[in-house]
Amino acid sequence: MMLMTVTTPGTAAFSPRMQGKSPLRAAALVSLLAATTAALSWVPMWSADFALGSIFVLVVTSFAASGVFLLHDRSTGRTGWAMIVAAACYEASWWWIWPDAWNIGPAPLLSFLFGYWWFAIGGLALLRYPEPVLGRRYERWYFVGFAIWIVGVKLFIVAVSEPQWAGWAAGSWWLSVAPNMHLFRVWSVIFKIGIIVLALVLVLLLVLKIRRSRGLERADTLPASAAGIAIGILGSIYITAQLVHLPETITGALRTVTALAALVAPVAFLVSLTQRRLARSSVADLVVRMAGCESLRDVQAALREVLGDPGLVLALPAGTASRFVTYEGHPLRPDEQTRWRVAVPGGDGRPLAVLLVDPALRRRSDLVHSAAVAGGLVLENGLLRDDLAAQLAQVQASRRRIAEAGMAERRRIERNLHDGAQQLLLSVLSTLSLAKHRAQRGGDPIAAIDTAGNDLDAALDELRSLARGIHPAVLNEFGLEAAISGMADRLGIAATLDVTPTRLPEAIEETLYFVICEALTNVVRHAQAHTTEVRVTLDDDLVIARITDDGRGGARLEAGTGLAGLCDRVESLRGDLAVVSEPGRGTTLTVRVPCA
Amino acid sequence: MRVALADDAPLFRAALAALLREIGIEVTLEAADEGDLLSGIADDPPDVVILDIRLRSEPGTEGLHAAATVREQHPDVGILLLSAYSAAEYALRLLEIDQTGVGYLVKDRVRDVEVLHDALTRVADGQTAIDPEIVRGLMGRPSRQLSLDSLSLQERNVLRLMAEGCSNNGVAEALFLSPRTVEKHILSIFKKLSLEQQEQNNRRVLAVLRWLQG
Repeated sequence: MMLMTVTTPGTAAFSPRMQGKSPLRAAALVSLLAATTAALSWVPMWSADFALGSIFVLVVTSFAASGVFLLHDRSTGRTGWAMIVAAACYEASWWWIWPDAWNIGPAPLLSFLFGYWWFAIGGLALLRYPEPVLGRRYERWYFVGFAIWIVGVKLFIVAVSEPQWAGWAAGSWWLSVAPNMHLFRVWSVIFKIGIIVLALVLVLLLVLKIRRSRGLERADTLPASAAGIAIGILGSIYITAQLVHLPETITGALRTVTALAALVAPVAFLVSLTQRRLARSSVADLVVRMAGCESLRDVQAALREVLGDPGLVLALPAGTASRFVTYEGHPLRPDEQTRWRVAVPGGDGRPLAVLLVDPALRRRSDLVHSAAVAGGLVLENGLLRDDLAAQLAQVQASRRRIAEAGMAERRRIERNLHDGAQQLLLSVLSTLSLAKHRAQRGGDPIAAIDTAGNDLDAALDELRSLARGIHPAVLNEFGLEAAISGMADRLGIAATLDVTPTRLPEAIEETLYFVICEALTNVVRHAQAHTTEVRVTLDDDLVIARITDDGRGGARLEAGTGLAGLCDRVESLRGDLAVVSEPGRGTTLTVRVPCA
Repeated sequence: MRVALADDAPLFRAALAALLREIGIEVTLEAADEGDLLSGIADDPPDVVILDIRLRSEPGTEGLHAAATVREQHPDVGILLLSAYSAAEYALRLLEIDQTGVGYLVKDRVRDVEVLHDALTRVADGQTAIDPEIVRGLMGRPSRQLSLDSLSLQERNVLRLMAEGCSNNGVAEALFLSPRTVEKHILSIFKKLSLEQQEQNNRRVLAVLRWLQG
């Protein structure tokens, strides 16, 4: 009966249409009801244990009140209901203190059956908070097991017992089927051991949840999870103490401490609710903070900080609407491609840029959108607008250069094919035609056939070197080390090679191969060097290629040279390319490419 | 017959010169570009110049430019363009420069000395020679199939040879027909294709090719 008096007001006061209004009045009403019923429940004990009674009333009241607040926040509504039900169950779990005269109607049975539910329902709320559902399949299985244990085993214990064995008045409502004292004792112990195991598993699940959460989500989850861990550990110690019959003073103290730990849960919920409010208000601070941003880099850093997402990317449209690059002009990595894209609106409503946000933040879409709008305001401001325009221009120019380099490359290949192999093959055709004509007239065609053979050899050589220039097969099959060794053999000057045998991502291998080819070609053509050295090392996640020679130096990285074209390719992999080439002191070309 | 050669691929140029000499043609000049060619033939014009359509190592139509200059400076010298491209557009551009004593052959034709010799002879005679491969390609264009289907097999053969630049007598010899039969076929073709009848053979080539091109 009292169970109903606690939950009903909550139900009435918090129908969905109330959600828009201030929760304070409803919370006060529910708290008053919860406190009153709890205080009444403790009547038999007030004189014996006032302190524990106070904690008890506080736990019931704060569970119910935090439930009301959680209900008010649209995204945590289900957790709110769970907390209110848990408050009722927690209250019922203490009815064993009642004198026999109070054991009327189904009260003893309800208390016995539903007493542990506060722990199960509260644990469920803590584990899934702030999501309305459990994220992992094993978490769902855990709660299915939990429910079976606290319903099934309890019902079984009821069936094999009399109410007085469990501490209730003889003759109370009970569902006895075949009372058996031995079975009752054994299963009561088994039940408690099961609860200890379940409590410890909950602790483990909460730890796992904290470990996999990050950024804002972690800040959100941490207080509630910590409360759950505390309750789980203290509760299992308390039940263990009961099982091994420790002195009443110790179990009593543990009981008080566990009740105190239970108090942490509603406090934790209120803390994270407040944090969410604070995070929302920090968007206002963001606008103030970003007003001082002097570069796109600052803007990205401010957004990362406010949203607690260190991987957030401020991306710009690159030419076509659906393609984006980072604000530095790099193409997006695959992991960035799959991030949540949030448009940064400009003053005219058209997107200025997009934020690539951790998909976990979808839950906080209000915050993310506010941050995007704030970001848009800052980007519109004069200084950054120029910066943005300049970046865009640079990005587009770089893309154009890459496209042009691709076309120039295709033209070069066509020209090489036309001037090289094709002319040689046509010569062969012509010479064979001559040989045939000569043979038909009784002449000796051998000399002409020899010439044709030589021309065919030359054509094959042409084709091979052209194919190598387009994409050396050995690079795909055996990697950079083999490809560069093969190339160095044909170089004509002494080359020392020290190339990592580790296979690198295809795009990196290919780019490094062409950079090294170009560099070595330059060494042979221009440097007047005696020796050259190629070193490719993998240092953590950074590939460093260094090509040095002892030639005359003076090389420069200027537009129009082969190296400038390669510069774009290296930069498209987020790497950089540097040349040190003082006159008379050789040349060192260094390429660094991140290899995540 | 006396021939001057201009091609920027030295190996091919040498091979072609050797082949031409083998079949009894005198090669008076082997030039790498338009300048060499023009200065080389200024005092001693040959019967025909053989030009590569791509004279420098750049893609383009320098060969066509050289052809126009040669025609301007030496109207009597036949011009045979050799090209790595089997593209009708180049042949049509050549015919627009002039329609007599010009020819356009795909370089692969060097494998067949008869075709090469025949083309050179026709060009030297002031006739026209268009590579059969180009004509075949044009006649295969889907946009022309409906009209071509209305021609008999023999008429289609006549049309093909006309497009390659054969005179009425040339067509008659190639198809073992009498010149009168060929004339009848030609009249019928022009009627069926609603083509304007051209009096001169050479003008006829361009008209037929343009029609085929659609």
